[in-house]
Amino acid sequence: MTTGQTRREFVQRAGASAVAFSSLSALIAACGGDDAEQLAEGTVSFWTNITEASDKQYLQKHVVAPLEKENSKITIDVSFRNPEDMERQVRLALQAQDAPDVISTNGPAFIPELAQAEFLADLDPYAEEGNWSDSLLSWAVDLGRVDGVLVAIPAQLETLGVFYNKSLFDERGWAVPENRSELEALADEMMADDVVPFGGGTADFPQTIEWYTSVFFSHTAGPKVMYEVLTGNVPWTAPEMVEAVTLMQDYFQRGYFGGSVERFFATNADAFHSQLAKGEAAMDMEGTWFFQEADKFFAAENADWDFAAFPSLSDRVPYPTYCLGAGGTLSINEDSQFKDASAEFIGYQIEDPARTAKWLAAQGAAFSYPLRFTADDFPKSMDPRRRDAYVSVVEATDGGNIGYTNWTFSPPKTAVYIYEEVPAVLTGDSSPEDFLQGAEDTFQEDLDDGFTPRVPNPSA
Amino acid sequence: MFAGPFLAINLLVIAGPSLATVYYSFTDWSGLGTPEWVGLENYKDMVASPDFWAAAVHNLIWTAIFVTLSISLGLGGALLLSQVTRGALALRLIYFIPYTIASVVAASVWQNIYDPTRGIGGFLSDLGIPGINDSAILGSSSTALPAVAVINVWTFWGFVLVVCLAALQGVDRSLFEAARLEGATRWQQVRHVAIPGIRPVLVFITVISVMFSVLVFEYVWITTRGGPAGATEVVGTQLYKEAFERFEAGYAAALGLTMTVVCGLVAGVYLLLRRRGWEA
Repeated sequence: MTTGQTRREFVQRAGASAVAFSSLSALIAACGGDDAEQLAEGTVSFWTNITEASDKQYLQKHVVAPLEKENSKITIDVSFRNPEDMERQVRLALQAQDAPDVISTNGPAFIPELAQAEFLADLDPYAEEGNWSDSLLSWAVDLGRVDGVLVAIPAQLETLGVFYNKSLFDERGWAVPENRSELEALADEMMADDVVPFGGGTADFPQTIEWYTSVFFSHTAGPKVMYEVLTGNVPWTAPEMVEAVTLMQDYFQRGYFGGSVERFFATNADAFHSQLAKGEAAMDMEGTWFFQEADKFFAAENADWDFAAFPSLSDRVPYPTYCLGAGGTLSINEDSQFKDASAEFIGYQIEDPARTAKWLAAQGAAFSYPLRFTADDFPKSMDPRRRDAYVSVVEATDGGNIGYTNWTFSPPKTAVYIYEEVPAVLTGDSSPEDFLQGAEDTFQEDLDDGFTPRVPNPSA
Repeated sequence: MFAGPFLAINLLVIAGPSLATVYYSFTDWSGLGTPEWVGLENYKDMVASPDFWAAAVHNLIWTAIFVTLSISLGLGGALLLSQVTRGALALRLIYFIPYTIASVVAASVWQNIYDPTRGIGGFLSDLGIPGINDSAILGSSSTALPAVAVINVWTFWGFVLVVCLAALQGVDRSLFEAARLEGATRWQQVRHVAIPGIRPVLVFITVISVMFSVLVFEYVWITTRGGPAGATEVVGTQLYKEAFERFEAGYAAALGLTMTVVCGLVAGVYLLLRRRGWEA
């Protein structure tokens, strides 16, 4: 992994070395290996928002150590950061010119501003040499581009769907709903049986509300309308968007999520996951990151779970539709002295879907890059529910039945506006129309700033 | 001369960032790149923002709850404890303990107390007390703000108690004796002897309580982060969100400076009162 300039420098260095240490040069040549492999060197500093102890150990043992073994001149210096603080820390470090070589963010929405401030290196030469676009999903490559230049690689592939208590569903003879009428009929039946249809809550992380807005926008307004909204061709106040927010408000006020609006805001993740496993709640609308934890909760209750796409809430939405999401990005610091080595590190994580699939199977979301996974890439021992979900996202990408998570495709101010202001709609303190007018105003600010991410077209 | 090094350190760590904050409040700085001067734009935006005024009102409500409850409980406890002779030290220690607990721990304890399933609501409901089965104290717009303020009161009133008790012990005993001989009731002794005797301490506690209320951040951030639906948003949490979620560092600086000015005004009123001898 290298640029032409670095190759020239290498040749010069190698030439000088050859004069003085011809035998050593001959030995290096005899050892063979790819030129690019030999060129990249240095200690690459890398900040990551990985928090789970097992993920940290796995990263060091199965990603960093093998890379360092393959490339003896590269050392990866990993620093684990609190996800809630990492964005702030990265910005402060960049401003102080003390940022790591490989820059992680919490999502693509933050990238355009960093790129416009010229903090991020051009990744196109590395992507071309490493054929990154062969392994990455096309929307992910587009998402990492700012003004046509690739500056970030989306990480942590995510989608949203329905985790449900399979034991409870089997016991009651319930079927997973696929459309609005089935969902409403089932939810009403569950409530009559004193079962909360969807466990949920935002007490420990208010941004959780983004899961719900993402799903209601994409699964009610539909992928095509959302694409037009996110590209500025249709206003946020479009009737389909009003319908989406009104439906979300209605479902919350009926108590479909968390049992009541108040309980939803007062319940934390551990509590609603326990409710789901115990059968006090039947479903949980959540992202694929919960795969890693689901077994822990369900094993404690001797129950079983499964995962399905979220129902289509209007005729505009094909079933199944999967919201696309990336919970992070990787970039190279423009000031880095070790750009080639940094690119090696990034490339090692994304160039081989089968290798990444092995990490993903062993651990989970922290290693889920948006790659062109096929079922064959994953180890046979992998839980088929998890494997199928990731393969479904790839297939959805190809089929155009995609939705958009707020934290991935909404520009930064709009994303914050949505998760800060939508709770007032759910409590009835704000109307869907007023909320969407505010979203439109904020989106226009983002458009003016040029901070809107590139959005994949479902019709393409 | 001895003060020189300390003055230099203070200038470095206080004056420098303070002046920078003043400067940034007149810019559109996002936290990245070069700030652009925008004059009074941030202050105009702040004054025109309904969110700012909503947060400021929450600070006022917080102040009313925090000052009233902390001082009532602290003073009341001190008056009662001043009558206790055996075990007074142990009681003082017990009441003071919450003040020594880290805010994150105190907030987490109370989050569990307020939890709709595992907390006091669920417990009372299990005892058969009707009407509280669905109580989600921190999830309701009407109860969340007072509920979080109560956490802060719980951690602070023991401090008020200890300070008031120490002040009460400094009041001349003969004044109480004289009042008693004159036939004053217990309440009259409190009103006409005890409270005037510790007025400087009470004024000081009131002033710092108001300042703490203006600057409040951590209890709200840990428990609700300003939610639900902005019901507990105070200027401190709004400032944090502007700076580190919306990356409007210039606007956040304007908010911070406004909080500083309000605290300065409170301190100014206190100094004015002292100069006029009102507290003595």
